[in-house]
Amino acid sequence: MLFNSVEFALFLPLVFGLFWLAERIHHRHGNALLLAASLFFYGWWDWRYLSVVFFSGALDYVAALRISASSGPARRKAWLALSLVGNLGSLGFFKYYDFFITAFADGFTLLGIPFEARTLGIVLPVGISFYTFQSLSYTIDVYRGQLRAERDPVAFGAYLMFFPQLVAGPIERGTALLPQFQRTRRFDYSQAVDGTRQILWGFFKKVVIADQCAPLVDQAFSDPWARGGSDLAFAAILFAFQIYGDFSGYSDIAVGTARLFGISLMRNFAFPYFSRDIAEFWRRWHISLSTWFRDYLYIPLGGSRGNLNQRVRNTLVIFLVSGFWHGANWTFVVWGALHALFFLPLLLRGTHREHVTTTALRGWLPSPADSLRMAGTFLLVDFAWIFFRAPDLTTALEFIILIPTRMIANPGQFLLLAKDITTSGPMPFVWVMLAVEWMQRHQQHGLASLERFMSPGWRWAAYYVLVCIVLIHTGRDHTFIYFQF
Amino acid sequence: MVRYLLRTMAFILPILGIIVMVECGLRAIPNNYSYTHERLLNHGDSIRILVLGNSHAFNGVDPLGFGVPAYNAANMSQDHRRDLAILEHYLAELPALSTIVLPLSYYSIGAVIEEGPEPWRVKNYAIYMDMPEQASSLEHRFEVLNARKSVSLRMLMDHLLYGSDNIRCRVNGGAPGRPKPGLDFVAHGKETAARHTFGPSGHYRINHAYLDRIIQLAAARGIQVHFFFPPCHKAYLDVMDPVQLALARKTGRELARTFQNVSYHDLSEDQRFIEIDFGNSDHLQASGTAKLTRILAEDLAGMSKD
Repeated sequence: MLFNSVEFALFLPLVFGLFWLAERIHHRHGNALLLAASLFFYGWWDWRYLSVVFFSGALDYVAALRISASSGPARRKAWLALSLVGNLGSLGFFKYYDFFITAFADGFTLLGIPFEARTLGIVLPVGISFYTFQSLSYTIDVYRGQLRAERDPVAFGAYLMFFPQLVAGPIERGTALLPQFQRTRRFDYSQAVDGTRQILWGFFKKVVIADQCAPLVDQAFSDPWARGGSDLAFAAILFAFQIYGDFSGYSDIAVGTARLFGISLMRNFAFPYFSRDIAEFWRRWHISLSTWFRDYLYIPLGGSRGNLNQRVRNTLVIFLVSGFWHGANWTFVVWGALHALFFLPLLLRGTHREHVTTTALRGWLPSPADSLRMAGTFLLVDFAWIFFRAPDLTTALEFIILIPTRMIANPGQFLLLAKDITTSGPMPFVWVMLAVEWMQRHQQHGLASLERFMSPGWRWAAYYVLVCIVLIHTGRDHTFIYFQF
Repeated sequence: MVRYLLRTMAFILPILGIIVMVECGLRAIPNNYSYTHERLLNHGDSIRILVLGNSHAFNGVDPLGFGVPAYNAANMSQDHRRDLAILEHYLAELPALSTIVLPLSYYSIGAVIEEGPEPWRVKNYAIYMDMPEQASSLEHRFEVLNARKSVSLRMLMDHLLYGSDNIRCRVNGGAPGRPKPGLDFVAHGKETAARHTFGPSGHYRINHAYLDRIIQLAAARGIQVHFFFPPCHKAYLDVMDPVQLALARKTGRELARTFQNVSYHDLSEDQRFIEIDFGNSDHLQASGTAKLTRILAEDLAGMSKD
């Protein structure tokens, strides 16, 4: 079930009402209700996908209990290994089997050995990368002794399958989320109001920004040769806002929805396009994934300790794996490699933690130097997005070559691009989003502190305007980009 | 909790009220579908020829050219499932019906509205033609849940301010295609052929089943079904997938061979249609419409002599 669907508009109030009725009896009833709702929510796509989540959940539920009960390190390690193999095996089979078999076939063909690749054409279960990682982190945390194994299968199921974040995160940790399913939740008016505002802002970013950018981006990437240089450059810029609106919009809706149920989810985005370097970008973009890789891959590899070679290796590994996590395509690997390339100079110079506070912490506007840094970071990120969006490496390279060659051949295209960036398509709304988020950059989301500078009347007027804009722009159910991962 | 619920309700109720008013307002605007519904329901007694199909028939066939009472119930993007639904729904209202004219083309054999560029049209059959079974989701039951909201709102404003309707068809249904000056036919043909090429994702089998059912329904009433492959501009025809093209032609020929009440005329390469007959690479404009209607009328006249 998509957040931006009529079904969800009916589903959410119903589950909200039933949940708080159940919660009044006992939190276990609330958990049971949330689990049932989550199964229904996920099964709405295809009930057969439920078996994959069930497999992953059952494996980790049992493995964690066994790890807890085992005294010998060998047995604990064996159960952890079983969980890792089971989860990553399932992920690998569904997501990467066809990719690897094709790559093997290509490799053998290059060596002159005929090899027929038999791809399975498996349909990827929605959100498999997200819930697999969440489930894995639970078992690893139990193994590390940071978390007690959950005995209540309903509480564990509700934690693993909690519908707001099941299909595209934030990828939660057991240490933060599981305790919230082990106690009674209290309805908090201010949390619920702010959660509702966050949902509204999420819808604005998804429906008004991302979905309006999508057709222009799709056209440009489907046939770059048929477009002018300014069209391609504009499409690349639009994609940066499309993916941000899409994914951060989803995260806002997920976090806001969870707050209606008295549950706090971790922040997934912290206004990443206001970052002053790539390191800061990665502290602000898809935070739940980057911290997952930091805690379960980067630090175990040695992190930023060790000699220069080890640090470079660790950085390369984490970015390449992060790229590959997104999908079985070389474009994602190149995207990860580019980010590693952008990040390494900062790491080597020791300046990767130079920008840890919010931009223009005490002022209204960024300094000229910060403005340049933000613009430079955006351009680097946007350049890498071309690989992320392109269907294959050839298209990405064509795209990159065609932009400058066609624009230089026809300098009028520079003016056209300037006009496009200023006013074309969804850009007026993009500027509104950037302005609102800039004003709220110290907050959790774009509408977080409206009561500080708006009277209730003006606030409601602003909400009505936003709701109307969203309603007018809703159309066919556009799925979320990150659902494919 | 109560405070939150009351405030949320207070916020949402006016929005719901506006949504309900917009829905009612949009439904009150007459359109091609409600017009066709009214015509077939209340003036169907004399209709002898019923034209069904997608825009190729909607733009390409002028019912007045048949010389007998005829109605063009084709519409943009209309697929064979809806052709069958219209026939089933209105057949009892058409006692004089003797012939059904229907395009069977490169596009129609694999198309379903829901997967095409205009899925919002499904709601028109459910809402305006009284066929709720055509709706497979909530979006197909309400105007306000559909795309093109800015278009709908503009239409509503025009209706409220100027009383304008959204009927774009002739008295007997169908409408001439409008030429677009300066259109690049080669580019249009390439783009259209790509959009009309389905590959394995097409719905050939199910569409074939709908065609079979149309033929059976017609046969039970002694009605002739005349399929035609619409005229195509060279820029469109030349870039079609040869396999899909052959399949469309073969389907028409086989249906005509298999069923006694079926005839088929392939006009895709008919030399009588020249450049100026086309509004774009796959649609006819006024002169082409007149020509196609004349040819179809000759086909039908020939069949009645036989």
